[in-house]
Amino acid sequence: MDTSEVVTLVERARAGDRTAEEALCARFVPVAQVFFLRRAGSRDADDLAQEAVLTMLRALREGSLREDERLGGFLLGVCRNLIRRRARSDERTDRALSRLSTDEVFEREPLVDAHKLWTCVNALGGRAREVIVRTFVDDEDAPTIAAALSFTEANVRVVRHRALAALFRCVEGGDR
Amino acid sequence: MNEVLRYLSEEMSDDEAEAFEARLFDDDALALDARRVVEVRAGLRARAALGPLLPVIDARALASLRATRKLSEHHPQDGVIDVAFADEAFVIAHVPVDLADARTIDVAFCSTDGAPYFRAHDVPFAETGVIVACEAHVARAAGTLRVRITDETGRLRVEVVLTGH
Repeated sequence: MDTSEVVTLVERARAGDRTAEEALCARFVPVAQVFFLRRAGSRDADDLAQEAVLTMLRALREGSLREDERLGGFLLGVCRNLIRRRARSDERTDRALSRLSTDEVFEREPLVDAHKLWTCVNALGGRAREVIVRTFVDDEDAPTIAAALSFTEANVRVVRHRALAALFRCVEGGDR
Repeated sequence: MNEVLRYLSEEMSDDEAEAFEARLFDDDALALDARRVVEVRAGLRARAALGPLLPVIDARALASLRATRKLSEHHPQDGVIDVAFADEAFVIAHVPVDLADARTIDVAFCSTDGAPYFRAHDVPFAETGVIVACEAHVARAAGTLRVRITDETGRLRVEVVLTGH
């Protein structure tokens, strides 16, 4: 999706085109989720990403977005503001009222086959698997994982990176 | 993908992470990688919500499963576990085998002619055996499964047949 496509989608979404909004969500929700996975941790990443993208859509509908072609930069600013606000007061808006269903956005064209993912998770070494599950399923941060597994935090980060790389190699290639 | 994984794994300095974020929100290739990561995470969470991620579990996971799901638990008789399916969610097979000298254990779920359907690598085990947790609908669909337990050298430690009706 190049800049001109983003601008077109912004114009259509501003005119009330729901499909264009969904396309923008499909493009921008995952990057916001990755941002918050890194900056806020797994437990809050989905809610914060949804809140950020909703703020972006609201700005778009209200005409307060100044440069359509800078939508990504605008969203990054929203994400950073949410992190700053969270750090100041742990303030939250009522996310339950305005949830976007990211599952719906991704249901149509999944990039990752669920069965293959399961097969690949089972092909990982036990330690690698444990770190991934604790990170992405149990929402544990590096210090918690380090304490539970008697690792250093640096070791958790290295194991996590290698485990994720191995998992993606398997999911995308067939490396069992 | 490597950049997104380095970012997520907190291997970038703060300055490097900030510079990466500026690209992450505008770069289509990075956005695609982000989507893959998010889908993998969602897939893991969805799978974990159904039950154990591994078909081989430890005693603690079994205790948790007992508390939340209906199970039928079995011990092999002459190497065979014969399950009369009812409405259980999981079939649990307690497979006794001396693993005191094993470093890692793999479990393969095979068809009757030995062709593997599925392998679980480096699974949890006790010195006295392993606990297999098979979703009942999978066991029912498979009909008969040969469960082969091997150690880190590839040596077969035990094989049991799981069959149901």
